[in-house]
Amino acid sequence: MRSKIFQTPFPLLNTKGGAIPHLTRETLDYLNMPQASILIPLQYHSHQIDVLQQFKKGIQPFIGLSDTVSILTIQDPTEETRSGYHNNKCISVFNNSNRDMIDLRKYIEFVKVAKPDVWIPLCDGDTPKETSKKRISKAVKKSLEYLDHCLEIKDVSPEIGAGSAIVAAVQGGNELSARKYSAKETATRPVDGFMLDGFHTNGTTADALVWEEIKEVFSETVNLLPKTKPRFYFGAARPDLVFDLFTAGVDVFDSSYPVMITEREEALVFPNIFVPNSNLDKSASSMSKYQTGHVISMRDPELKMDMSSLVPECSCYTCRNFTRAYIHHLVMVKEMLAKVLLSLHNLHHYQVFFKSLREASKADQLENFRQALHANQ
Amino acid sequence: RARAADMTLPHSVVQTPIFMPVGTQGTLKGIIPEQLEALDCRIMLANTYHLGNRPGEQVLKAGGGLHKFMNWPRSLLTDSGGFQMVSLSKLTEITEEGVNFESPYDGSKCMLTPERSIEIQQAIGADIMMQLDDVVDSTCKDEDRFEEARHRTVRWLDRCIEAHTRPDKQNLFPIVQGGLDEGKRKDCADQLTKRNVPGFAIGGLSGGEDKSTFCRIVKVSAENLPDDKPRYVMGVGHQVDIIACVALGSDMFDCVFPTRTARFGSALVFEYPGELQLKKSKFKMDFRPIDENCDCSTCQNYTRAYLHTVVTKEPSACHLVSIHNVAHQLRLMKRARDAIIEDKFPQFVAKFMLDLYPDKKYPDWAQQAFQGVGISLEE
Repeated sequence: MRSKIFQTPFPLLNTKGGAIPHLTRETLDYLNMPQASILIPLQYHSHQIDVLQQFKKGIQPFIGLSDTVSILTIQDPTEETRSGYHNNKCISVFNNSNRDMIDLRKYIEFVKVAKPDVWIPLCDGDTPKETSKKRISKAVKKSLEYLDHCLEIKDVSPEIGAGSAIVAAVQGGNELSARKYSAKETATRPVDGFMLDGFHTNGTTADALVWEEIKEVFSETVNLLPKTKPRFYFGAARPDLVFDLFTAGVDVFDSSYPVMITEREEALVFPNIFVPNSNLDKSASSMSKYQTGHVISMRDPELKMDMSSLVPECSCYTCRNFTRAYIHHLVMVKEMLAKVLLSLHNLHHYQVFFKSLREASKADQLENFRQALHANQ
Repeated sequence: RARAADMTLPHSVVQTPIFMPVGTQGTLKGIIPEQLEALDCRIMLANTYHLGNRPGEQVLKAGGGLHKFMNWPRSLLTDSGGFQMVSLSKLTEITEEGVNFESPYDGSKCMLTPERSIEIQQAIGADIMMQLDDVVDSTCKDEDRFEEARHRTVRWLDRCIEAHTRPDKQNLFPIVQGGLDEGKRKDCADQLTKRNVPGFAIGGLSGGEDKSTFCRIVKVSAENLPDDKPRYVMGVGHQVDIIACVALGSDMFDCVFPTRTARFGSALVFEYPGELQLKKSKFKMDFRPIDENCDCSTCQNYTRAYLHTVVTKEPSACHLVSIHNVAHQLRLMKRARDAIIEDKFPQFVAKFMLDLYPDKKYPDWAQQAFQGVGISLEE
């Protein structure tokens, strides 16, 4: 689908209310990405159908992010989704405290006026830990029904655009048989990609995911999906989890993790550069240039007089122009610029990590890279 | 009386009349300095009181001064710290020595003397520093207090000048005081003029006084200051106030209003009513940019309808409206400046006021102020 334009694996940029958190069209350019791909959660826009209808140009120009590639999803992976609010006909989405009930008809209407490049059909991923088998099976069944309807309508609706792609959500919670069923069935539909949904309910529940607990189900699920179509996974993924998911077959991620780190007023500092052909000793010494540890908290009083950049030799806009001391000051006086600068750094750091992942994978040195990640910890 | 000039400062050339956005704590509400450069902003303000506390003198020195610390390569102006102390603290005591106050952060007692203010401002390194003045709220009823204040202001100016060790790198401006009494103002201006200073500020206004008094005092203060040096009216402000002050002979202005109002989703425009409250439902389907003639990045990429959905909700909305509001103020000043240079200032003022008040019900004080300098508005 988009794999020929984008090298995988790579992370999408999240949006909230149509904006990449803390960034504007102008400051997005400071991130210096040749092509930005953004994730648009329905929950912030479902009540804007009438506006988009009048506007006529689709959601990307509306949110000021034309010339990006957009993927429409239902729930925002950066925030925990409220559980237990779906019913037989509708999926619930929340915008602040306002609940919107979305049935198929409404969803299709939205897709028509939003005109995303890629969209995920209405689906039910509300299967957190401890969900009953009955509920899981319902989520699987409903998602397949929604998928089939969406596919039907896409065929007969020119407004949706032949150019738009559908990425189907595979459900099943952490239940092996439900997952296998969902994967097998979904794989038979004419879709362009697959989203591994329902392993968490977004926000911190994604961050709390323990790979050991889901790896068996996850891997078996992916193995049932066609190898030629990309696999999507959304939700905060620390580097270790990214390795695991990537190895298990995921191609497209999102940036929930750096978004979360920014909200915590922290900066990512883990080693994200792949050094080819390095043995452990060598990478340990090259990594010694970096801060030990994984993140630094910008509230740390030790940063007060630290005039070095967040990460030595980082090429992001923040590191080229600002010091730890300055960002520490901004955080301590509660200035908005703190999160702008942290966003620019954290998103960049994560992007570079994925670039290294691609290089390491091509060079067949994934394990090496993974170990270097832990060299200084 | 309106004038236009080029003011050459260590970090940039500033074209007056000029509006200076306020970046209180070494930052302008979520805007990256390079974005301000893109708007061709040449000078901005920072507050000594805040920065003196956090991050503090030591950090600023270690950071190579505020320009380097905040990555702003153009000019900076700092206030003395006195005004904030008086307005932010519950307990200030002003003596001949300085301003004695209790920190609102931790209750600790502190003394700000003219020498200390200069010391902190030198650590900050602004292109223009303000003297520590004895500022009295203009609504104060005690005439003696004003009398005391303006004499002390002159004495403190001398102490500031004495303490200033970098006159080649930083400019020091005195501040004309004298309350609302024209005689006192004139005398104060005369006193300050005797000192060899590069420019002047007119202070002690934009408090609770009424607008026509405000204009009267600005006029008197400006009249009694030398023509060949810049005049800075502190804390101004709203569009009409600025243009009135330009008409009365002032050159430099600062105010938190444009950036503060952006936080609440209010965008500045040239037509009535001068501000768009983007939260209002009437903007829901308004697909125009804030200002069709504005070339700021916000107006180039976003509609009122979209901004309506995000103001006061997403942090980036505040940045977007702030950028526009600063762009607007700078454009306003440029229009005024161009008109002055082309000798068409009265026509500019007339059109400016008509756009804001299409029903021609101009505020009295403004009409009088303009008439007083020979500018008549359209009837």
